[in-house]
Amino acid sequence: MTIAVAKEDRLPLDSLKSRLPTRSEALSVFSIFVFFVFSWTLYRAFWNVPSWLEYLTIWSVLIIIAYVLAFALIESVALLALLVFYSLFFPRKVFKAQYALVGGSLAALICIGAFLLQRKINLVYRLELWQLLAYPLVGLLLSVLLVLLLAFLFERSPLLSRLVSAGIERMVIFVYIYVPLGTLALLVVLVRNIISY
Amino acid sequence: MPNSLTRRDFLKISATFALSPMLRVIPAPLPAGLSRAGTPPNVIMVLFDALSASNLSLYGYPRKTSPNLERLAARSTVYHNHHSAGNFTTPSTASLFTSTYPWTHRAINLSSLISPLVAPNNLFRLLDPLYFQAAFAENSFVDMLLFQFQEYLDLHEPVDRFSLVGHTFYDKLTRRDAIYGMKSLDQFLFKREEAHGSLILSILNDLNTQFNLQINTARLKGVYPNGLPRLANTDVYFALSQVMDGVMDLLDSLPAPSFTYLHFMPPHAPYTPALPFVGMFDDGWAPPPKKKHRLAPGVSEPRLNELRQSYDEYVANLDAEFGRLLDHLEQSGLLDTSYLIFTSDHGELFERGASGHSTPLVFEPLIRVPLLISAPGQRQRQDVHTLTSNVDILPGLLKIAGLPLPDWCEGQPLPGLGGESTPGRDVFVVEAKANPAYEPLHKATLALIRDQYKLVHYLGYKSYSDAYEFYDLANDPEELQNIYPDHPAARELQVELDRQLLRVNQRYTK
Repeated sequence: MTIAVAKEDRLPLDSLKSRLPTRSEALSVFSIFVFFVFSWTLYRAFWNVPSWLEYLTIWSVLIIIAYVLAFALIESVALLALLVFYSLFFPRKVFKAQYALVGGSLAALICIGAFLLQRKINLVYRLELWQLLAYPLVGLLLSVLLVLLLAFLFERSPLLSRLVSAGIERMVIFVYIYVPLGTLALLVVLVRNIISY
Repeated sequence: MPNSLTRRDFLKISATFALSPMLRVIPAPLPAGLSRAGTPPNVIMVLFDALSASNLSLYGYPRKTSPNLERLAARSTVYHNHHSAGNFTTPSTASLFTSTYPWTHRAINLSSLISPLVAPNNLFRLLDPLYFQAAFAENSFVDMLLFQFQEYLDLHEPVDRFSLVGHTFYDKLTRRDAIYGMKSLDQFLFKREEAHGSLILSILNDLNTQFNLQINTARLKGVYPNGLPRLANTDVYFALSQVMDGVMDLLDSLPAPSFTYLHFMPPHAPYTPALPFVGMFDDGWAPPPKKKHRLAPGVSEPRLNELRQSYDEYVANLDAEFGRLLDHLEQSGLLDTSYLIFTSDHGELFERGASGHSTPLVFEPLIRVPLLISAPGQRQRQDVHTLTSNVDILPGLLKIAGLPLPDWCEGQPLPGLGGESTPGRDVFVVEAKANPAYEPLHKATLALIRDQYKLVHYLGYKSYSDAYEFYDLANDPEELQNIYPDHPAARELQVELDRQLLRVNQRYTK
């Protein structure tokens, strides 16, 4: 009796667990976030470096870059966590079955969307209250449709799957470049905030 | 001061004794500023950002913008010819803190810091042995400067301490390394109004802030019909009345003797007065138009008058709130035991095709700021017409505290606070935001004011290079007639300004 209840209790948890990505799937999706987040942040940082150097020493600029890289690492991890959480709401057949492909593509599309929005960021400051409620909901709905569409396309088109998969695999290299940099930067930030004054 | 000796107090006292031979600022056994009880009076410095003396009825402006300041003036020393050392916050506030001109302290860019060579020579270090020191600045650039003096501050309130909506990240996440936290998080990763350094989380933060803003704007529509006041360069919104309430509580909680630095954001743009003040100057009045300056962007005259009206209404709003503070200080008795200093960091311009203060111009509305000092128990008004600068405030405070004047001060004690009027004294104004901080000044606007004359040197501007303007402020207070080519005094001032430029540039010439 006791065992039976325990099994019943475990069932929803098992169902969720079965939707979680494997380590390699997570790494694939993470690599997409790492690539876009770090590249964007570094692009913006180096765009600012000449102005920082107008009134800051090189040492100060390096400290700012350490903060920026540490934050990029945190942002990448946070985005991966959000996407994993989001994926739990989909049937296994839709998301989990092609986690790296669907997750990686979705991550890339979100990042590209964010990149385009960053170019026109002032639009956000003009949004009315109803827009602030409606647009995120529309965005969420679109992302659901996108996941369904991607799952459908990857299932139907092996060529597309192979192409996207090859692209995602190559992105993993950025994890090995950016993550150690971000980790080192995070250490610098932690040390500065522990030992400062 | 607290009754018991804390570890922090012990360290401060020990450090003071250890450093005293070097600093040469420790008072003689019985400093002049001490009261009969042996403690100096409190000092409360109230600074409103971008408040031009030219727009205050206290100084003769036709619109009744400052009735409460006039009330304070009745029991204060009123300085009529007080100038800021810069035309925007960072250099001018750094000058106030260090008694040095911007070309010395080098905080000449918008988010500059004071040079490490100059930073140790600051107001808070000098007053530290005598006062419990508290600071609250609504301007994040000033807050950054305050973090340079963090070790001397007993209480340093965050920028968003009394805000309604939004927050700063550095105060929450990296307070122990605030300067770099601010530069990376608030001024880069989540920076307002330009592509952020953070790709996605910054957008989510924007959406969240906007959502809260819209909710609060709708909630307070009856109070702020033109939108909530915002701290410039941030996403932090506030209601001035709430900030003032918070500051009153803060002042009540401080031990005596205390030195409190309060830097309020109004009337800095965006000009968002509260309802009783919206439209109060819808009177059709406008000053006579002035010819567009060559370095002005060419804002139209109707737009300038529109902006001027909003600004004046915002000034009247802050004056009313200051009146509440004044009432509170009177009722609590703090006004009888404290010096109250009222001033601003720079002014605001609505003429010659330019508005605001993001400009290379240094006309009087931009640099002439109010200064009122009410001594404990003062009942009579005293007017000082001598030329003074905000580099003189630190020496004035040292006089109040009975401390000697260090030799690195570029200012001199204020007349009315133990200082003397010095005819022929030179006061400088330096605007050099387009210049790298630690290079010779090659693009800047430099002004020298001596007696009634003002010489302005526009250095290195593409369309107006090496140009000089010279005004007789006594006979032409509106600065309409550039008499540089004809006036013999212009040469004298030019020689001195050029000499100073050569001197300050020498240090950075390789």
